[in-house]
Amino acid sequence: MSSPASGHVTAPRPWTAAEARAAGLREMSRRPPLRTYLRLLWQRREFALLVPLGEMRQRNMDTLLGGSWHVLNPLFQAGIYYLLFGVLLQQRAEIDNYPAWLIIGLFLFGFTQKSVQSSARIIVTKAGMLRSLNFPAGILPISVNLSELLAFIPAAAVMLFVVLATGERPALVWVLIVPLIALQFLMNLGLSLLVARLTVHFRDLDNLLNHLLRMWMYFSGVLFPIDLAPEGWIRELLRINPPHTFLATARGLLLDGTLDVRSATWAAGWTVGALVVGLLFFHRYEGRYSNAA
Amino acid sequence: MPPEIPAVVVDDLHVTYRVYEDVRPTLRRFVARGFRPRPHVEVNALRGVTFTAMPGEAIGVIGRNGSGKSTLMASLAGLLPPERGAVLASSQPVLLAVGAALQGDLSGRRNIIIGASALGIAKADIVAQMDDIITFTGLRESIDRPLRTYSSGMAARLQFGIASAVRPDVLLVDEALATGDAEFARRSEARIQEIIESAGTVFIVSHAMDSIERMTRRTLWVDAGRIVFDGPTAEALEAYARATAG
Repeated sequence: MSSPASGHVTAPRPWTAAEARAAGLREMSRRPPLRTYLRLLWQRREFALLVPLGEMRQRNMDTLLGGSWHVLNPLFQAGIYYLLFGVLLQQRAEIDNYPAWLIIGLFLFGFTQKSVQSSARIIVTKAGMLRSLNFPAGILPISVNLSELLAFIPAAAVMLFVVLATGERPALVWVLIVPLIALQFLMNLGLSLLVARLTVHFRDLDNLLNHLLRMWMYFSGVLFPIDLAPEGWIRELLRINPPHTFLATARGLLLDGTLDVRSATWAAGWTVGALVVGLLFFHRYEGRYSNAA
Repeated sequence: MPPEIPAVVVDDLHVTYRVYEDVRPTLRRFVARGFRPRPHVEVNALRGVTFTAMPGEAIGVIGRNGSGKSTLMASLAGLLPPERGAVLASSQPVLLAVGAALQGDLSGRRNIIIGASALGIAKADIVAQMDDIITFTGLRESIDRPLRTYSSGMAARLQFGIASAVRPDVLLVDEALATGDAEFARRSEARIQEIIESAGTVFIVSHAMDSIERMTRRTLWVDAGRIVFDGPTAEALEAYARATAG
């Protein structure tokens, strides 16, 4: 069919990989070591932010109320739960300022829930991008989490407004809500990295996650206090479970004006744990995500 | 004179895709299979590709549909993991393809920023080059319209314009010259020529034999995942024409 291009000027003698390596050429599609990987992620931070900003702009253009749905949705949800748990099941008599207590729980838990859920299929849906553009795959879950953080900022403002409107007095400790949200963002990111890779291997996880996250909500003291659980190790377990540590810290700050050191310490611990495990686990498969079709 | 260092070295490269059959996965089948994952076929897209490219070379890549040309380009850019063998390069090859990053509802201008940032250019640099890019694409009148209102030719021009903002040492052009009118094709070719002249290496995948002939002196003919010819473009095109005519 063809003749070999022997000795022709236009085709140089092919080098072996070993020779090329010795001459200082770099191997493509190699998983970079973790430190380099983190540097690469940092270098592409602008890209990680531009994609969600663009998508948000896009989403907000085709609905009448645009971005305000980010706030309206959880408020409607809060209204429904207030009727159910506050009025019907009498929680408003058990807890001081139940509306504010409930809003803090729903908004903070929703932040984690949405971040993790939207990260589940991100690698699978954006595999085409990974096959044509050179960037670390970790950018995708990071980008999702930035997008959820941006959407959470107005929600956090509404949350503070509700707290003030229901008669709470602003205190200096309230500023600690900012580092708390930063911590929660990082914990969400760790969990997101974990599920983003897991979904590549088990696609069904995306559907399952929906139910797991809902179950987690009921076990995290979002709607009713965990004190309703029988005393003992079960209640202790519920107390230190990640979302509850964030909720308890935020409620302590905003409703009691105090820093619940124990919960805050647990929250920080969970954050470090989730981020380290998520990053290590996600990084181990880097370079192969583009094959997830 | 010291021996010249190659820009790209490909040594016995094998790339395999895992393709799942178009059978709906059900619990019953899963149980019947003894809880093993879905069956898949391995498609050997590339099986033993070896060649070396020098700085300043423009190399054409031809072959039938499904022969492995695009897989080869993606592998050169390090986007696909090799099953066996290696791809090495003196600097990161850039695939001229930003389509996947663009967002239809956003304006051409906004997409220039997103696309260029996807290629790793800092936003400040893109903004500085914005006017040049818009001039190059020739889309000044429609640059603030949503991308989805562009014709396919206009979208291709925008994409080429974005990609031309990077000046990589190794550029991979996969069928990007196929769309757009003659005038734009001429400008794109001039831009690629600039890269070659500044000692860059360019790979051009195309079914348009005339542009391969104009722009390259060396051509790889890929067939069924192997290189069947590597040599002067004129000879490659002649052999390819003979093989496809019969």
